[in-house]
Amino acid sequence: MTAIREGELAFSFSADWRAGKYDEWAFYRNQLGKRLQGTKGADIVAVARAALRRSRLRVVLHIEQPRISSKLFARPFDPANVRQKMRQLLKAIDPHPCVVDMQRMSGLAWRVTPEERREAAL
Amino acid sequence: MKTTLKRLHITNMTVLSEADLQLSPQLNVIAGENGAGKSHVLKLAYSIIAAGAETGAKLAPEPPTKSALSRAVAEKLIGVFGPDTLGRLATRRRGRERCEVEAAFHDSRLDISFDFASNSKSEVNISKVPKASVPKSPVFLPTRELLSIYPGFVSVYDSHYLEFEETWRDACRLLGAPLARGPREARVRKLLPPLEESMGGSIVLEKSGRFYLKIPGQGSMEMPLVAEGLRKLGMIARLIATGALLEQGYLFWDEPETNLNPRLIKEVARTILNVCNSGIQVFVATHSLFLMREIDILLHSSDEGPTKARFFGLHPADLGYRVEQGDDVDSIGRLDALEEELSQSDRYLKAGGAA
Repeated sequence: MTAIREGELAFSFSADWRAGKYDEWAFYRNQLGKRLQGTKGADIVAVARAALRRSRLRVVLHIEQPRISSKLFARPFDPANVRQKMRQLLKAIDPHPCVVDMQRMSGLAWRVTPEERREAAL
Repeated sequence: MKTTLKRLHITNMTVLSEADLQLSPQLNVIAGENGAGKSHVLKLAYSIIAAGAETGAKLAPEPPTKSALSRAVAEKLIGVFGPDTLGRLATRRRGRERCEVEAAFHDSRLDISFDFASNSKSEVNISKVPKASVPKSPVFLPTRELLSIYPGFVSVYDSHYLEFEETWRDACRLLGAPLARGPREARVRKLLPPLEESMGGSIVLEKSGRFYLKIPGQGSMEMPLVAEGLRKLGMIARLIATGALLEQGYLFWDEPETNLNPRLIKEVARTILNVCNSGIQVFVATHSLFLMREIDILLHSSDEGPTKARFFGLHPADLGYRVEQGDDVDSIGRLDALEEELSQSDRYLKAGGAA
């Protein structure tokens, strides 16, 4: 099992996944880190071992958003907007990408828990 | 053979330097920012079909002649687009000064090609003369509803010089047509009830020449007192009831979402699909992400069998705008409405809205 802490969230992936923080990858630091300072991007990249050597891939974006209480913005980013943008960009790789968060995991295998709650449970 | 438009090839017209649109016999959705030429594409296709139908009606049963068409097409383009002279619609660029248009139909006897120069005044040059006439007048619904201005509009338009697009006059003429009778009534009875439910009543044309919304148990309400969004639904309901939007025919709808709340946009999307499935070729120009999504949802869940759809995106290019097209909304490049929503989310977060 791989456990990754990102801010206030704890992600855990089972043993058949390889997961890591993207900004700790040598590739990111050498190729992108300096040029893209200040920009926001993926925090964690996880690949199912079963997906390696496959010709078709499924792409899932797990996005946790700040909780807000605005009638104008139920969530800052509407998952439908994000999904549609991904469909435009990733059409050739996966024409039906998924967008999930803690409340709507669509049966996916990893777990996410808010850090505070976990500490309270311990 | 089906009379639907199959392909529209445009060279050097207004902001479009070159566009080759492969159309669906059912639903065609055109997206693009303001000024990208969405309405121009709709108006061009409408003008060609309407000029063909009008000439055909005058000369029937003989096929349209070259000289009659060259005037009719030019007059229709001027009436619908409203330029000072016809030649203003041709773009001067790349050393070419001619606007060229080719329209191919599923029934190739209707195919027509024409061109005109940037100094043309009142005639186009017909390079391919159709061998048959378009049998039915197309419908063009402008962004504004017309039921409230209907009384007397056609006769005033025809006897005075008015700065209104000819599409308004044409649509008003169709709104005033008598109701469909006979076997077509059954189809009307299937399409109308959902619209009448949304409007809370039915549209009636009284002898005074005014339209009313007849509300069961409450009497009739004058059109100008009815909410503007409902008047737009009323237009389409009336055109279904008269048979203009039943079986064979064409509907061009410019920004259907204008003046409508999301609940009515949902209704409009369903009506568009229903009209497609009743045999009408539909062309919609839109900015609305909400409308495009409603259509997308319906396309993937239609119980009337699959509706064939084509999507077109107009994007800025070196010279004017270019077209990207495909069978789904993700194949037409960037959607401005989506980009703006995403960028608004960014700005909202930056402004501390989620703090």
